[in-house]
Formats: sequence, C-alpha cells, structure tokens
Amino acid sequence: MEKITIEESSKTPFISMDPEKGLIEIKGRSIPENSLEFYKPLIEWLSEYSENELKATQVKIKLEYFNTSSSKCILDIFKRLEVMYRKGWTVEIFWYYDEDDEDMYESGEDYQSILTCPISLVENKTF
Amino acid sequence: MEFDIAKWLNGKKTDTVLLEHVGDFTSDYIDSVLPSMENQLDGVSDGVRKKVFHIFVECIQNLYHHIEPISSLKDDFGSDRIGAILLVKDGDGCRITTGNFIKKEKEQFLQKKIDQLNTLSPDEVKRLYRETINNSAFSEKGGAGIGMIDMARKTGNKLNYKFYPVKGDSNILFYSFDVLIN
Repeated sequence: MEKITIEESSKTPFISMDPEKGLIEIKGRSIPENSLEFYKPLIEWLSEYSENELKATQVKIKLEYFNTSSSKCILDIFKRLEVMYRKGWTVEIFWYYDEDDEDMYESGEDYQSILTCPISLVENKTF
Repeated sequence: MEFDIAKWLNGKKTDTVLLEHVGDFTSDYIDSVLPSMENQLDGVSDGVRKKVFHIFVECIQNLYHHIEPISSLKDDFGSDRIGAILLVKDGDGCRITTGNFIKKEKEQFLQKKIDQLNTLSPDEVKRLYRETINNSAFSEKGGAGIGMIDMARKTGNKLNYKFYPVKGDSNILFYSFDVLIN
C-alpha cells in the first residue's frame, strides 16, 4: 500500500502516513471548515493498513490549533488505532504540546480518558 | 423583513474594536481574515491570544455553517447569507460577538443548550465535552453543540445570547451570541 503525504496549508496540517515504517505524523493547524472531507482519506488508509500483517505503529501528533470538528475526526483515527491495539498490535500515540499550552495538554488528557491504547503526552517544541 | 444589524452591532462595540465584518462568511473570506486577525492580537497576552484565536475560529465557522439565507437581503448586501462578527477588547480580555439569522425552530435547541451549559461547573463541562465527542454522532455542521461546549470550557465564562424578532417574518429570528475570553 502507498504512503500518504499531504503538505501543510493555512487550515490543514502536514500529514505523513508511512506503511513501511509504521509511522503516522500529523503536524500544524487543523481548522478546515470541512474536517470530515479532509480526514476521510486518512480513515480509509487506516482501514486498509489495519488489514495488513501485524506491525508496530507509532503516531506522532503536534497541533498548534484544531477546531472541534477536527477533534472528532482525530478521535476517529485514534479509535481505528485502538482496534488494532486490541487485536495485539503495538500502537503508541505521542501527543506533543508546547510547555505553556494548557489547552493542548488537556486535549491530550481528553483522548487518554476516552481510549485504552497508550497515549504519551510529550512536552516539546518539535518532533 | 427588517432587522437593523448596524444598530445592534454598534451596541456591542467597546472603545477598541479589533475586527468587524458584516456580510457573507465564505471559505475564502475566512482564509483571508484569520492572518489579519492574528496580527490584531499582537498586544494581547500570550495565554489569552491563543484562546481568542481558537474561539474565533469556532465562531466564524459556526457562521459559515449556520447562517440562514434570506432572499430579501440580496439587494442591500449582495448576498442572501448575511451574518456578523465582532472582536473587541473588553477589560483585560477580548469579547467575540456573532450575529446571524436563524429559523425560529432552532431557538429552543440553542436556548436549552446554552442555558444548560451556563449552569455547569468547569468539571461538569469537561465531562460533557468528553461524553459528547465520544458518543454523539455529529455532522460537519455540528448538531451536538460541541463547539459551544468547547467555548464554555476554554473560557470558563458564561455564554450570552439573545434572540431578536425580525419584523415582517415570524419564522426568522436574529441570533446574537457573545463570549468573553479573559
């Protein structure tokens, strides 16, 4: 299956989904008016990816801003990953936030409270 | 069909207006206004600035999704989808005001949703946010009130609203909404 790379725009984040490395990266702003449309190909990619043979998968996500419709889409992505985790895959999610960004830290906690797969909150400027 | 948007907006202004727009809220307009809006916030403290930007995005996208088209506005405004947004300095913080026409049938949902939110403690708002994002099916346009829950949570302030009757059309209301970020 193919790698997905989407460049960052003023309203949408940089996305990289690499099936060889088992690495998913999301970085930037996610404030599109139509989040469902933006995230649909990613969800579809994950469906196909989860059909492959078991693989250790890492997700690195660092958002500057995200709107509420994106927060739901990101939860949908995490839920797909959780299904893989429950099937026995090694899935690690790293949620990056800036030191002074309390809201982004709390968003990470929200996802931790909803999901059972491991989510690490990482205080860092970049990854 | 009559409602004096200019008069309503003037009543919402403070001495420092950072941004105002009355008209259509297209994706292109939102693209163009966000960078200039960020520049306007240069003098605002770091913690507040990020929250203001976040909530401004929610508010402006609410307008994008929820303005009720009114055909008789087309002659005056060049579009039938008319709403308003205002960003002002208010004390140590900022206030965002939005206004748009809605169908009267939406009044009860909005009223109930906001009144309920305004009675909740910060912990209860947090719980409601988590429940809503996890369990509610909502479309691109929203529907579960997640945007409002998020605003109540991030600001810790009560949300203010008022519905104004519109002369000549009893099925339409003008929905005025304010949120203070401080």
